[in-house]
Amino acid sequence: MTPTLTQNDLLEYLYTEQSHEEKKRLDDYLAQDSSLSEEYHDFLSLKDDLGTLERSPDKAVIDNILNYSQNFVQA
Amino acid sequence: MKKQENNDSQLVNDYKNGNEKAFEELVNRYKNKIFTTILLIVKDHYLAEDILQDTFIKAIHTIKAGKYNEQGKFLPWLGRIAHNLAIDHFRREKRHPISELEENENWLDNLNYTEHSAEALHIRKETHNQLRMLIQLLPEKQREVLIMRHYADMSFQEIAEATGVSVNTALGRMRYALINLRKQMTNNKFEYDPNTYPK
Repeated sequence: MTPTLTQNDLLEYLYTEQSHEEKKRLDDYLAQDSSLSEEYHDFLSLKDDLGTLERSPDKAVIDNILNYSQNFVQA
Repeated sequence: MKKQENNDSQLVNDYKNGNEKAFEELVNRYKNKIFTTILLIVKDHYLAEDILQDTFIKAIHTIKAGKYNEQGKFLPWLGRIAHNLAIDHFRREKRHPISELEENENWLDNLNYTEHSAEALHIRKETHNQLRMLIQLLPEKQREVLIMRHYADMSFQEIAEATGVSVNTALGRMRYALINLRKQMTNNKFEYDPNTYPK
């Protein structure tokens, strides 16, 4: 019997946390279920949007961190 | 596709053995993800930079003392440090992060927009602004999981352990976070009202 797909499975699939076998099972489900596929692609699009929010710190801050590391002496 | 010349474990090991370039590679590899993790919690650019420094300083002490033992999981480990320091800041201040939302409305203003079209730029900026506000409006537990998973790169198992819940609960919170964001993003009548922030 094929195990039932849960919404949590879809989340793990979205964030690629599944085993190869589980991924294959989800691939098959998505190919057969248009509503599930739609939900997955909605989540995927949102995930991409979240990725665009990434920000960079000021270069001086990074320089401070690197300088600290170079001058750090273990007690 | 970006080539990963050395894996994180190798870089950490090299750094432990005195190779400062290895540390520089790790910092440059993950500075944006860690900075964004912190910024989404504290919503203040300069405070986020201070906490970013504290995060890496803690990492320096731990690695150079030979106490780092999370082989291959450097980013989630660093993400946990950053998250804890950001949360600790608000515990010390005894106030909720949302109190700074309005006075720091421009924390996302310096994004590097690459689109040439003015219209595309405008839409992109609007989407960022809306998404940023919507993340703040998520219930705290959903927002926490979203930041930990998406920016700190912690697995659902690691999030579950860090927050003291089951993996299924962490997954459920993430799912509701995404559903809520998607619902609000498609709602044209959305208007930001700080009074609707969920407790």
